[in-house]
Amino acid sequence: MYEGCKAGNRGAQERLYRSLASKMLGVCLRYARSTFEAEDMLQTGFIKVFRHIDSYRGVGSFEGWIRRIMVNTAIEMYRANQRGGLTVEMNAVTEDGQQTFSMDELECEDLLKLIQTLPDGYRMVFNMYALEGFSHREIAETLNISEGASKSQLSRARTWLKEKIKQLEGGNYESR
Amino acid sequence: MNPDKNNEFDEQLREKFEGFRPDAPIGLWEKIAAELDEQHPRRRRVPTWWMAVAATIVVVSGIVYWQNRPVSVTYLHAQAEEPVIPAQKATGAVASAAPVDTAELPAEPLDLEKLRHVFAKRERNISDKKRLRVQEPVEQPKGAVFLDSDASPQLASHETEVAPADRSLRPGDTLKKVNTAITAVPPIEPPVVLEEEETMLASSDPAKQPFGVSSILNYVVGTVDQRDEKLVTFSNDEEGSLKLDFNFSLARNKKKRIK
Repeated sequence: MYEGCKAGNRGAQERLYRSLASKMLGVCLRYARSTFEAEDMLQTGFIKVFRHIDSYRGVGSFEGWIRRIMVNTAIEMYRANQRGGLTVEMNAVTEDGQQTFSMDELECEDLLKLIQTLPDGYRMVFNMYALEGFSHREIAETLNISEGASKSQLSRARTWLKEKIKQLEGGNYESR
Repeated sequence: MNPDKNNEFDEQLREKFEGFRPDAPIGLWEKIAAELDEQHPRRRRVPTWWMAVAATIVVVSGIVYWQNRPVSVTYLHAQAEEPVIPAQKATGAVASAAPVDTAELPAEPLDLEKLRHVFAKRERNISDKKRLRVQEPVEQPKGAVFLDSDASPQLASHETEVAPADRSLRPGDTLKKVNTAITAVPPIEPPVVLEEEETMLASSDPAKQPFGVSSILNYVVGTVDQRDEKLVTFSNDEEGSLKLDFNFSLARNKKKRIK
């Protein structure tokens, strides 16, 4: 499939898209503010994949390379949105005692809604650190912020999400 | 905050999203395929556009440099030397013109004789001043100096009478004839003037150069921009300076096509 895509075979490209579109949309949705933005991200990402497929040198999995392109596309779109936008600050949320979550009861869609409601910068940092495994230094360089800002934004985003998840789980429990 | 707990939270979320497979939007592949098809014409157009712009920038900056190059210093030296050459030529011209002057003079003595009688009294008083005046423009009427040194009575009187005619000599007929005599003298100058005109004409030939430059520029643009209507065309105005014409309508159309 990779060889076909490299040769510009449209059939091979379509097969690659069909096999990975759903999974990559799941990645895009976490970074995007809306489903519409995520679909736009997915389209731009796949076009980049097909146009720059020559730059994949076989290091790491092909899927991992595509996933990285999706994340980079998300970062570029975030930067573009940042130019005219305001940076929203989150108020510090104090953590209470509960530290463990079952999450089994929660659907990904519910978690996604929570993540999408995070302010843009916090969502980027949380996604990149907690779900993608970037270091604070990498995040700081990529988003052009300080490492301290990256750490504090991650901490606030995480605390806020825990609070919201707790509320959801409580709601689910009550509704039973 | 406990880091282990945080890691656990992150891990839980990661696992949750790892299996997340939302439905891919219907028709997105068709959009991607359509955009990939547009890829080739877009790639072809963009480079020609920038090559044309880059070429004109290089050419225009080259012309600006060429016109402002530090050649003016050598040009000034050449100008300073010029006056020496015409002066030598002028003396030669005067020497050749002198016989003509003397040839014309024999017709005048009749009038000059009358004038001599009229100004016989003043002659001695003024003669000193006249000599000074005649000798002042040393370079121009060398023939006059020659005549004066010759000390022939007729020519000397003619020489003295020329200036007074402007001042006090106003008795009709004689004055007019003297004036015609004065106007008859200047033919010494034309050879010099004509030479200058010739040099002017010769120097105006290089002014045609801009035509060559503009045609070269048009050729350069033509090699890059191979359409019938060029984005940039060069021409010369009446004074020979270079004109740049942008075809903005072409530029607009291009933008639309790219979109």
